[in-house]
Amino acid sequence: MTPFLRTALPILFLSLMLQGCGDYREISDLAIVDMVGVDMDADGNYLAYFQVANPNGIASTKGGGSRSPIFTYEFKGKSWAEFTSKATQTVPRELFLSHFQAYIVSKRLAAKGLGDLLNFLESDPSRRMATAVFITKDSVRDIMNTYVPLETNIGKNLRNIQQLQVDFTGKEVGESKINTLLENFESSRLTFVSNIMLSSEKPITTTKRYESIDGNRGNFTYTGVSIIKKGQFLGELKAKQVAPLYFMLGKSKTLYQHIQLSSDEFADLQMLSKPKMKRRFILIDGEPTLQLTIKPKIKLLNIHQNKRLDSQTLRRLEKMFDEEMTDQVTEVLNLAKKEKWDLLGIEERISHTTGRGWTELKKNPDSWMRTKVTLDIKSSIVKTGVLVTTYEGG
Amino acid sequence: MLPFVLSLFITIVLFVYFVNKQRPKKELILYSVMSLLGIVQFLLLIIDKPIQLPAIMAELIDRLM
Amino acid sequence: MENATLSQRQFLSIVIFTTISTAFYLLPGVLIADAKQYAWLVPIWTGFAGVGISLLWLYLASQYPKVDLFQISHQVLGRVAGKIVSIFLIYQMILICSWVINNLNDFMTITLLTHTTDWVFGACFLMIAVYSTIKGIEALARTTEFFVPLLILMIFLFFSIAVNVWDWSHFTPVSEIDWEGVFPKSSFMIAFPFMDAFTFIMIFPYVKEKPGLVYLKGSLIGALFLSAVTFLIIGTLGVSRASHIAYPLYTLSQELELSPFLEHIEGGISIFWLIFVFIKLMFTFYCAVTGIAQTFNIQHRGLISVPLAIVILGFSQSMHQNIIENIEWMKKYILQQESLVSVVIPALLIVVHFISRRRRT
Repeated sequence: MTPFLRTALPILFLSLMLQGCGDYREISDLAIVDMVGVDMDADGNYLAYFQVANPNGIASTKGGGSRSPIFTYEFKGKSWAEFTSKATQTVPRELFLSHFQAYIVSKRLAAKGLGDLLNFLESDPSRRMATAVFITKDSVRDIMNTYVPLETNIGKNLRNIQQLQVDFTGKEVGESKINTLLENFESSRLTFVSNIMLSSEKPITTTKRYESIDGNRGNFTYTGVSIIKKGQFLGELKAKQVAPLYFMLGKSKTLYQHIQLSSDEFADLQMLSKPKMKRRFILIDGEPTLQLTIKPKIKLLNIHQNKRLDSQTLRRLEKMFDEEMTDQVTEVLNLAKKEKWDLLGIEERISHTTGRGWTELKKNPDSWMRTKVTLDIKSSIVKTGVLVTTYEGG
Repeated sequence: MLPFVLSLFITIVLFVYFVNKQRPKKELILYSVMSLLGIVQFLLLIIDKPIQLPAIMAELIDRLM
Repeated sequence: MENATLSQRQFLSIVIFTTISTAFYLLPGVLIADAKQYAWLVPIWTGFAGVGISLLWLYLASQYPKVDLFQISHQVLGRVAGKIVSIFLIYQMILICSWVINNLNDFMTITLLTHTTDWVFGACFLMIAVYSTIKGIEALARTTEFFVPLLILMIFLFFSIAVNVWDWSHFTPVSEIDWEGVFPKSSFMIAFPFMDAFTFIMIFPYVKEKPGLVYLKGSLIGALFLSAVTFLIIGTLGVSRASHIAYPLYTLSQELELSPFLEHIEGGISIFWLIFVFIKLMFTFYCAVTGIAQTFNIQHRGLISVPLAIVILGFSQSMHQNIIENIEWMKKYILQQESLVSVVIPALLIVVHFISRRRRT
């Protein structure tokens, strides 16, 4: 090998790698998107909102200044792909979408169907699909244009609210994500997407918000879930109906239940972990039956009772908890039956069965509605609070 | 589940260790019987039907009294 | 048998700590709920009764000096019957260990670490208990001795801070003694903690001199200490509050105030309780392991201690569903249950002992 080749070949080889620089990204040239909102107006135009983080503003809010930590851009267009090019006409930086925290969808868009939006999102390799998604009845513009206390980036605020529902109330199980919507898109399974609304009538659009002590105003509130089937909005459940829903699905990590023992005696119970769950799907006299056995372990948070707590009371509490949960679950199931929501995924269960007797049921897409659901809840109190008997007086 | 897996693992590792050390057969049998008792209890805990020593004692005392 | 000697002081501290142990946190609330202002009398009378009952074992130990619990039963009853008795004793020890862990789990998950999986506490404690058992009784005794000054200092400190909120009016109105509450209702305390004392016979042969006397001294000090703690709780928290909460001592330590910047010291105080619990667990576990080793003629303690720890951890998970049932069970059955090893078995041994001695002479 000549000396010339000995130097030239490595240089040539290394220069191949330089091609990778074509994909480099200068951070100060990026508009880092923190939250995305999508909507559709009455004329069928898509509206997209991008909330872009302002690094200087974030730094200044920490130092007590009042520059805005985020800016919201609004675009209108006929197709989703259009927005990226539209954005270049207004935003002086390249939109960087891979790290956003939350996706807000308006109820009217969900009602029209999310199919093309989901397809568009999935085709972009840089987007993370495991992103929290929310549906709102309020105007998306208001949601995107409000400051919230405590968190400077609103997407994080929403995600935290969702996570707190998972950890403390059992009204959410962390499945309200774009990838869940995609997974269930072609099956009959239902997806439950968190609903949020603005807790005040008007959004607070200036950083003056940080100077006010009132924490409640201009915040977000979790209000329940929307039921989505094949990307289509079916209906919604209120927050208090969501806990029994996730309970019967065996997904909730925790749950609170108030028990009225008598007119002036009551107790509060909390489920401690995911309950043990048994599902049997069988044919009884040709009719499909789903037998659910749920065994939650619960903690006695507090009790107001006029005598010392004993195991008989605990037995009674367990029984009342079982009955109360059965009532709540039955109520949700009755509502679902009326509205024709297949909350327990029975249609899919039927399609997965094999054997004689099922073939007839498989042919009829509405056969899931004939399914009888039986519930057997057996709770046990395994923990009590520090207070064993309540104080009497006054 | 975790305690079951852990105890099974520890038991097996130690069993191999004691076999390599050439402990007498009688000791190994005792070791296996005791470990089995513990592991079975963990297994029963998983399916929610554990052996409850106090409940057994209470039953016995109730019968005797 | 190990080759070891314990000084009187080491033995005394083991006896005191083991007696106080779980009872220290668990019982005051229960006692106060039953016996009101006079709850502090309960540890004293039950202490005397419990120690009185353990004289049966002490008598046997004095007749068979320099041998331990299991060897006594072997020597008195012979091989087969001796083994059967040994199995009862081992069973009782396993039960005590499971109990200790169960109480520990309950306490930790109710008060300090409410979201931690409960078997973890037991597993951690048992791991050290296995280690100390393999190391032998001397290591165990030295550990106990090491904690003595620390605990005395802390208890002294705790008492002196707690006295700040003392209120004699908690003892008034001086009502009639509730005989029902002081005696029959609280009689379970004879069994727990005082009847657990049969385990001490295990280490009698190692103690340099007069183990029986030291044991009596230790048990009575333990009883007085429990009485003092109950007295303190009545005087500071009051009967009404103490009978409403599960762990009055914990609540008391939560509310102590050394100065405005040093408060909320329940974490620290609980650690001392954990030391007490640990010593009882370690000691009873050691006894169970040695018992099995002797009954089945095994030289190596490590071989037994690991599977035994697994068994105990497993059983401790299913002792009681919750603390309320634990206390109810204790009130109802524990006296009868512990009588088997503390009254029936030693009485049987003594009878057989007399018969066989008469035959020989």
